[in-house]
Amino acid sequence: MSHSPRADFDYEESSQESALVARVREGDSKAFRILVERYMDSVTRFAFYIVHSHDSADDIAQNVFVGMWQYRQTLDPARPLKPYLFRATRNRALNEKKSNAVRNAYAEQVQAEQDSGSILAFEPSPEGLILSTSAVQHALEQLSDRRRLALRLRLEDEMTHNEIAQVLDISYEAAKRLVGRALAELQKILVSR
Amino acid sequence: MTTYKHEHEPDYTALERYWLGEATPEETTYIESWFAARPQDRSWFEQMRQGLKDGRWVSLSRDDVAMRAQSVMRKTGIESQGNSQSAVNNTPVPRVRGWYAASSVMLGIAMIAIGWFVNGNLINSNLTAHTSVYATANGERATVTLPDGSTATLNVGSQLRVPSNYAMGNRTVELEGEALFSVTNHSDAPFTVEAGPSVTRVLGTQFTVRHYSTDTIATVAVREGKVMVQSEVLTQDQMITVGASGAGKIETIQPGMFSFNTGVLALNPMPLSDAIIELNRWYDIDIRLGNSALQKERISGRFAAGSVSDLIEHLEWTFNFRVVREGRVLTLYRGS
Repeated sequence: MSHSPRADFDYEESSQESALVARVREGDSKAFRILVERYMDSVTRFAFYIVHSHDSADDIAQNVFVGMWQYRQTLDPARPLKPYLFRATRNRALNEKKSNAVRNAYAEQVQAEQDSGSILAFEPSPEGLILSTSAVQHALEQLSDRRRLALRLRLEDEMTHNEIAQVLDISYEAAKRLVGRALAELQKILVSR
Repeated sequence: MTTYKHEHEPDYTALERYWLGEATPEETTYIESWFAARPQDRSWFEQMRQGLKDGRWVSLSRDDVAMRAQSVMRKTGIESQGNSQSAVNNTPVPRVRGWYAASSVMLGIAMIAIGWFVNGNLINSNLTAHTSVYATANGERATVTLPDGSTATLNVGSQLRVPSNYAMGNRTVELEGEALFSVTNHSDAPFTVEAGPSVTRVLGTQFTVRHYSTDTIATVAVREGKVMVQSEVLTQDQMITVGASGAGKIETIQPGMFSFNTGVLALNPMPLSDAIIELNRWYDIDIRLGNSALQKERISGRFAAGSVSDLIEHLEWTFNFRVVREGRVLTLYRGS
């Protein structure tokens, strides 16, 4: 399998994603790099939203792309790449949280006892507890992780409900409901404030 | 026409689309009149626009992105440390796991083969003076371009009948099997697919219709645009089944419903007895069970076209079957 760029393929920054993905499937490293650069920022940001640490988010994002190359045969050029990448990111980020949780099992247990365990299952990171000064940030922090992620995927990453469903591994209806509930909750918090 | 309700709670889907600049004129009017009546909600919405982004997140600069991309290229083994200019090196690429490994080569061959079928080998016989018949055998797929530029990608073991006056505006085709249609828009001549009990009418769109002779129901799934099945209107990502007693409920499409188009058979978890029908057609093989109790086993997976040895590897490694192959016949036993 050759990794060399093809002379008859137009490698523009703006190249069609499906064409690039099809090239990656065939082992084209130049097409791969264009896609890595295109999605590095959003993938790292999405990882950051889950693990709340810039260093971990960097590692996760890079491993997501390494995985994309290793399992490039599973890519489907007919489908948008972003949900695929985000789903892989979410899986890796949740694993990371889990393994951190194991590492810190004792510390968490102590904390859980002090804290009646209410938020630890979802928010073990101390950085996640830092409150931002903005009212919207404050309101966002009151949302569950799932609702907040779904809302950001919809409004910040402009994904369709169907794509969000793929990323979060839930049904289309559940994704639509999740975003709607997140908006309703934010509305309630911000309007009644 | 959508009816909107709930005074204080807007239609959030419409609100999302308004946020993203994707709202229809109808939705825009609705949201703006809703805001006009509730100024406190406009201010909430404006605050959201400003503050959704996490303040602790700093976007990566171009250099940050390039540096990280470089690191990815090294980790994949595409580029080594001292060789950053060249895209090629001698480091072996980490092996692709399992049954996907050989399939890219096979897929390449399959794609070339499709072109060939279309140009030469695809059966295009005028059974009658009025109809052209396009057919694929088991294990073959092909794309047919119709006189108006619409295309039909036939899945394995499928047959499409096209009337000779198609170009004159009789855009009604008959299908047995499965095909993805990509239909060009002629507002004066609707495109109609008849398959088993189903009748699907469209203007311009992409959708699949499936009704094999082994299927008791016909299935229509919409990839893009709008179609009408019997009297139900389906939009993007919706599907419907039609049986002898009529159309069922509109549902959300299942993952992989369109993937045959790109050479991948996606099987959602299903009983082995059903999966065998699909796999036999996909690979043009004959799967038999060494023990009838195996029928109830459930399997799933994504199967690239062409490589039976990948299929065998998948059955053995993922589902722990023992597979004995003699020519086209694969016999499955429970693995130890």
